[in-house]
Amino acid sequence: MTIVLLTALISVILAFFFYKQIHKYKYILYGFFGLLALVVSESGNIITLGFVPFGIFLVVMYTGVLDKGIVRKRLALVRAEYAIIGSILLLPHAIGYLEIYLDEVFPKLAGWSQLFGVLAFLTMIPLFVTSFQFIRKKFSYKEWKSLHKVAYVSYLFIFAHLLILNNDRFFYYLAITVVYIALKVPTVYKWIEKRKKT
Amino acid sequence: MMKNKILLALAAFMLTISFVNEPIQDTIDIVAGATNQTYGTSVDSYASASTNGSYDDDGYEEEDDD
Repeated sequence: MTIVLLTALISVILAFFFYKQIHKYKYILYGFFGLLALVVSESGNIITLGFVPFGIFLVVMYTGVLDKGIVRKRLALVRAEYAIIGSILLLPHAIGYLEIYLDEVFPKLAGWSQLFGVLAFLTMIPLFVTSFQFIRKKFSYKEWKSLHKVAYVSYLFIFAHLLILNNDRFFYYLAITVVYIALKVPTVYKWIEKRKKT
Repeated sequence: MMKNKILLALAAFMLTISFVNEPIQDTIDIVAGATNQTYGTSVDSYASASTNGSYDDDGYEEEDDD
């Protein structure tokens, strides 16, 4: 878990101080991380095991539940970039494990955790594609926003994938899930109340 | 600012616990690209690969002479 948390921490610090540069040079960053994902894809490491992408996704997820202020503002400015980088780095993890399960392990032996992992990956594909600015421009703000509500389904699949793994990091994953849901509930409640009034 | 404080406390707590529970050498090893017991991969056992401390020792069984 040290790797996941350190990745999240470094991502927050970089976003806070270099949000302008991250936004400006995003395509260079996508290219760099794309190459990195290709290079590391054949071995077991912090990217293919999913630790680094999960650390980045934690920042993307939790940005939505932060209090309004400078931290949230700066993280929100690079949220799309982080989501794309996280998805790029997730590819070796998702494709690598899928390959192993399809080639070496009969799919029927794959457990619920793997199934939720695949579902999380599949629901992330449209989000990943529509996070690119030039594709985002083809949608109206309302359409894009509605589509990106799928992200919450994807988060649920990720949480299920991690919790059902039931490994040594179970309690960390449980804490991350419970705190995220607890912080999100008031926002959802406010949103429902607002919709009732209008 | 309540949510930010909760998250900061959670992050600090989890980071401390993970530093205590996960050997720093294993963390350095996995960053360098070597998997280990702390940062292993559970798929190995499904794929019939032996895991730490549980190798298949059938080949080392002594045969009876008689």
